[in-house]
Amino acid sequence: MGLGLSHLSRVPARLALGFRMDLAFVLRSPALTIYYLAIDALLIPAVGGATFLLAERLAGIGPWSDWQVLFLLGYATTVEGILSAAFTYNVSHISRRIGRGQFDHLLVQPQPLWLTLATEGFAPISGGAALVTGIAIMSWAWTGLGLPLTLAWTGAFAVNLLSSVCVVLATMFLWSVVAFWAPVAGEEISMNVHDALGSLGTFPLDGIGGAIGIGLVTVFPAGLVAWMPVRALAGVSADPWGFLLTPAAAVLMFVVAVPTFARGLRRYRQTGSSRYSTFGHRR
Amino acid sequence: MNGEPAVVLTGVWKSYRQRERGSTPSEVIARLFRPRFRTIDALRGIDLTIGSGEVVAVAGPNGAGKSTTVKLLSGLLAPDRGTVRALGCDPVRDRVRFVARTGVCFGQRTELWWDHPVASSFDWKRVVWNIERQDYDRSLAVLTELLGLADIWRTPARELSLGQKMRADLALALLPEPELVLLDEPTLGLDVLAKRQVLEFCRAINQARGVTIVVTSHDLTDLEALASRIVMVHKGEVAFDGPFSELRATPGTGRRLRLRTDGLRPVLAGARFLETRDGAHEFSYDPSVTSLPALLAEAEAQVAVVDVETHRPPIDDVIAGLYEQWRTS
Repeated sequence: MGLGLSHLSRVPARLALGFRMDLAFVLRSPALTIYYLAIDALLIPAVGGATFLLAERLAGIGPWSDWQVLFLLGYATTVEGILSAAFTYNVSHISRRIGRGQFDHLLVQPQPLWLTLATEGFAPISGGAALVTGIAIMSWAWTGLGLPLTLAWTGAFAVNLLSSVCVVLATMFLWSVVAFWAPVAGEEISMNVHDALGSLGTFPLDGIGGAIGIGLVTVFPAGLVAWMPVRALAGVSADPWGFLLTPAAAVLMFVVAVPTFARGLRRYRQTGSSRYSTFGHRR
Repeated sequence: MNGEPAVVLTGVWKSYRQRERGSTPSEVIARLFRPRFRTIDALRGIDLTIGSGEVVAVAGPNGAGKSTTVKLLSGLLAPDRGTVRALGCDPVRDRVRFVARTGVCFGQRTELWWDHPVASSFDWKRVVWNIERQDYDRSLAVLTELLGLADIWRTPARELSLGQKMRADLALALLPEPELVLLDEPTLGLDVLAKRQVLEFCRAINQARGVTIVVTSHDLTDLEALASRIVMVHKGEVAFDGPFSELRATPGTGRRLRLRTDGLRPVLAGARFLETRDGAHEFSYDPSVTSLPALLAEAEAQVAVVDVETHRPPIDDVIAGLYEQWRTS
């Protein structure tokens, strides 16, 4: 049972399909979609609103200027935006699919599981509000900070952004493995992990040392959602290796998450799912 | 239909471990520290071969192992022991290759995209299953005609009735023209008309394309209408494997005799009394043991017989009788 990398060429067709279906969905009820997108655009960055207001009031937080805090907020919102645009339909909330017995639907598709997971949740329009808001906030902060638009910085930014997405996904998938063993108790675990990462991820975590500080970049890597990469990207830290920390952590987490999830999947193949609910399936 | 079997199960065992929960607070706390488990053998060394182009019904009482069998065949479960081969593949190890040639349809587990019209789900299937456009058009035309999809084509899945949803799901499973179709309770919850459509469609697709169909259902009348062979699973073992006619001929599942008399019920030594309904007395008898003329002579010697009717018992009654025999044995 190989990785099926020969299926890579099928990714564009899958993404085009997701785009087509999402566009049709949006065009069928434009008023509802606008309402939905507006709520998303306001609520997702609001998670970090308190941090930003505090930074404004205090003219920064610790070593962070208010513009850097704004960049942090925009970055975290963009990470969230990518997740909601590319991994919707409970692909990122995979514990729901496992816990509700909906994983069977993935296994009857004639393509490697990675291809299904990478493409099935692609809904760039209905899920794109946070992405647009995040990019807008980042662009505003980027102008305020006067950051360079060099090839090196842009490359580092893109790699770090994708790494942060990878970290969040890997963390959600890692915790979701619990649902293979405890489908009822674990059904909503990815949602809880996501909420905790989202709310902690918008804080500048400087000054938090000891076990908690280490824990927030390892066991529960909220610090890698935005804080660690933005320290390097927005010039808070002068560490020349700072750009590499999040990508390195993402690779490590990916390496841990894949076999752990595969172990859970082997368990699923042994025991199956004793429950099934249509709730949330392909909606 | 070629000579190679579509499905071969050899010595397949499948067990589940179930945790026994406490019912009182003290028991619950005690079992937190000393959990107890029991092992349920869903399948106990099953051997089963299904030829290419066959339509086989898998039946059995609740918990007999029917769904486990279908899940093993569809690659969703791996056997604990033994081997499962379907279409020459191991459904778990060769999952991608295998499911590309298999159609799976679980009753009340829709593959349709909920907020999209039925047409979108078919477009999704075409892309994910990598179906060539001309093959898609040809297959869709056949399915649309056989299952009457035209009237629901632009309706969102969430607005479909149960029967319409099942029709669309069946068509979706058949769209890639699979060689093997696995149907788990496909008529569950359907009304008479919807059931008939589903069954007629399955028959038509089997005859037209030689598709191998494995179907489970609690509705034995449906199964008899569709399948030529029935595999009865009981306590994880194959209790019967053969044609329906042979099942009907098993001891204790003979013919029925209905006697309308002047009111009195005769006592027949060669038949078993079942019930009296609307003034008619119903008996069960085994024609290989007792002849009908002998029974009638015995009855007329006791009462005035007004009307006589004989018939085969409904297949549900045959199976219920078997289940009862198994339960008490």
